[in-house]
Amino acid sequence: MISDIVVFGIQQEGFAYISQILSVWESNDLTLRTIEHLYMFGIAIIAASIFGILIGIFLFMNHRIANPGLNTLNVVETIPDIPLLVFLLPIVGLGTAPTIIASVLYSILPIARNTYTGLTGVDKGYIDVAQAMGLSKREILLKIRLPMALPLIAGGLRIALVFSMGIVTLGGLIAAGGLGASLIVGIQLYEVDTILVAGFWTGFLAVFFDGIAESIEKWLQRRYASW
Amino acid sequence: MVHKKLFDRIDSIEIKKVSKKYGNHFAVQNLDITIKGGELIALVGPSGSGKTTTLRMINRMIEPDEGNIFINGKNTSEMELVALRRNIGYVIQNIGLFPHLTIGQNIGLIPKLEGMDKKEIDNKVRNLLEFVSLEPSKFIDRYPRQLSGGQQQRVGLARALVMNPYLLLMDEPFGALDPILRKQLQEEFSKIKEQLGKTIVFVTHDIEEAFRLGDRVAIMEDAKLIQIGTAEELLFSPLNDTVADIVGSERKFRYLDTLTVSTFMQPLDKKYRLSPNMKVETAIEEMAKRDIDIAIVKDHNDKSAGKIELADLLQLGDKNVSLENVKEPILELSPADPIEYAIKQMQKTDEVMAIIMDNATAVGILFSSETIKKIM
Repeated sequence: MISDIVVFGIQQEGFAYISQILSVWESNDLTLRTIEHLYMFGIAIIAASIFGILIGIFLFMNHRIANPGLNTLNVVETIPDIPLLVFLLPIVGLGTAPTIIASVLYSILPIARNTYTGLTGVDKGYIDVAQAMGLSKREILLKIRLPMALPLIAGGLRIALVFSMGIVTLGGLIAAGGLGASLIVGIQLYEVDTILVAGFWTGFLAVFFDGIAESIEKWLQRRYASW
Repeated sequence: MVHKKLFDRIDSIEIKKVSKKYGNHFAVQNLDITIKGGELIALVGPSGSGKTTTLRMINRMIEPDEGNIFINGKNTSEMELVALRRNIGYVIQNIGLFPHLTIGQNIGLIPKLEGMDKKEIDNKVRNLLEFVSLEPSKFIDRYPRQLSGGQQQRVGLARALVMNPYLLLMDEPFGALDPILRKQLQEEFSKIKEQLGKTIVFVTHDIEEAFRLGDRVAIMEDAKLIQIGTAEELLFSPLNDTVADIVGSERKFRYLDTLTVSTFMQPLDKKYRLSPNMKVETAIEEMAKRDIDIAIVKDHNDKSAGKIELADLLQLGDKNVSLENVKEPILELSPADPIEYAIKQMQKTDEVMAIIMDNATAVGILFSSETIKKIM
């Protein structure tokens, strides 16, 4: 009997929490904020992947400028994120544009560096066999090096995902919308509920995407990595 | 990109005055080797002797500093690099199957790049897998890491054969396998070698493997070719101590002093015996029926023995003469002769067989090739 009451009580308390969370969610328009958030995040990641992989390939094909190139990207990486956003404001204004640009800038390095390392690091033995079989340089790059570098490229992408998630959240500071905006509102009005819900949700999304990226990376490693 | 066949067959590969230097030190020095079409030549020597460098200069993985290599009289340095390599099969020790491609994709890679039809590639791949004794349906979609070392080596061979090259380069293909598997693959390979009918250049440091598989063996040391020849030539007339040491004549054949012809001869089978009175025409039929291409001609009292070869008989204009008139002298040996002496005698006279006479009675015959095989 007593245990029934306790269970009932917990259930009732559980329902109460859920309805409280739902009301915070609705009053803050978190569905819309999540869409904004993922929109910026998605564009940033796609752009960073394209640029990063292309830069990685370009540096691989031009070995001599590989080091200066990667060092330049490294310098970008060392600029703290808030100053970078502020620095972009006079150039591209407020809102989503500077946020996406900053995310891309941060995300290019890990992807480009891993692409470059992956392409360079393919075991010489495979390249040797490929040459002896009569594959041209281009075919070796596209058919051998690039697929074999995929696990490492995926590793770079995973780092970029985490970076981007952080920057997109910071975008709330410069009127980019997204979950960062809700967090800022929560902090400014000192609404603990809002901070908690938006904060946990943002954190959950980051962990969720990282998890997906991790499983892709693992799959690629199994599928493509040398033995 | 489609690359044409550079050659329809291999008549000869001539390595002429080829040198390759790394810094001050010769990897290959002034090398001259002529390889005949259809033969398997084994390059043997200690590591650093230049055998792999030689092999890799044939498909221009390494470009010689001096000298040229000609295939069918055409200078390889004037051929298009990618085309040359696609016309030459290449198998190496650590196989190098691409881990991101399935077995089928590994074998079919070059045909795919050549723009061959998907169905045609699939057919080719299946045939090749069968050829190397791997069940196609079971292996075609597997990844290299799911295969054992021996299976991978077979796939490596299949991949090298996919463009049906007339020339095959093999760099210690069985080197990484354990001894039992190596022996098994060597045996299989020596069988399919005949079916392949390809010219093969084979690098190994294992002299036994070289003798087992090679038609001729080239011994290299310190970037130079020391001696090239058949197993018999190298074993019984090594040019110098190095060759003797590498082929192991001393060690291996010390016990030969104690062996005599009687151990190796075969009893004189009726099959090999033809009467001197037989007509050439009948003899040809008879030899075909008995599946022999060499026979001994002698009468019952074992006197005036001689031999005839089927090839010679076929060339005779007048097929109505008796064998008595066309037989050739035959090398006679005694059962007590040391085997080493017997083989040297056969080599000197360029004979493949000898008749063994014991006090004017024919007691057996000795074939040089079989004797060598038994000794090995």
